[in-house]
Amino acid sequence: MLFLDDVVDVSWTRIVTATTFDADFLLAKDGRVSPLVVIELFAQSAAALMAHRSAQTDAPDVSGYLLGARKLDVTVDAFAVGDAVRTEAEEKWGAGALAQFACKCFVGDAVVAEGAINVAAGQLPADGESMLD
Amino acid sequence: MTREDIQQSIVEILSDSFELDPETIKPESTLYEELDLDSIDAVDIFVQLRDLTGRRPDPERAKEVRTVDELITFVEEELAAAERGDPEPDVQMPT
Repeated sequence: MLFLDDVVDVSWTRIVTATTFDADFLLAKDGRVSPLVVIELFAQSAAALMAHRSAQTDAPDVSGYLLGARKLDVTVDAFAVGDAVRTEAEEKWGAGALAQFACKCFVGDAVVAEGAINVAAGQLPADGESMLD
Repeated sequence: MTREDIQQSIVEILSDSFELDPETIKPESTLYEELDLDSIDAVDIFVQLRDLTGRRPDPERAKEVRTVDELITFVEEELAAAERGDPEPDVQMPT
């Protein structure tokens, strides 16, 4: 399920996306949306950035996987249906199949969530092999 | 930044990020076997080293690091590269 409505800005290492939580938003319940939705917004924004890179280089599209979130700080109890959020994801470092993105979610100019996500992309190694190689 | 300063910073990164006892982190400690880190943890380490050195760590050289001592040497070389003004490595596509 794609949560992103628009790509506002994108470069080789950073993307800004926009999402509005409509009444029919998948995770909307009783007019509210769990703030944990930001983890998926971070992941989808990172995926959109990787897709942008693939398009720039004619590289084949690859599958991506969210491995986890680090140092996640969320300052809202819930989003309201109708809220428009902006998500920023910037790749901090990557090697092999792995990368880490520093992410923020804004409502207006206020940061309502920030943290890092670790992702994997491409062909995953067999058990016991390093994903850095 | 002396080698001892770098070692202290690395011990802080490892102990703070992975709840390791600083006393167990020796120069000869192997990252993946003795300290029980994995490749996802390594990404966390190198992101923090980027903040320490001010430049994007070279992924190809990062893959070769196996011990704390090699990590210290890696940071020394990254700091030297920053001082020389060497270009940062290109951002890689996932492989």
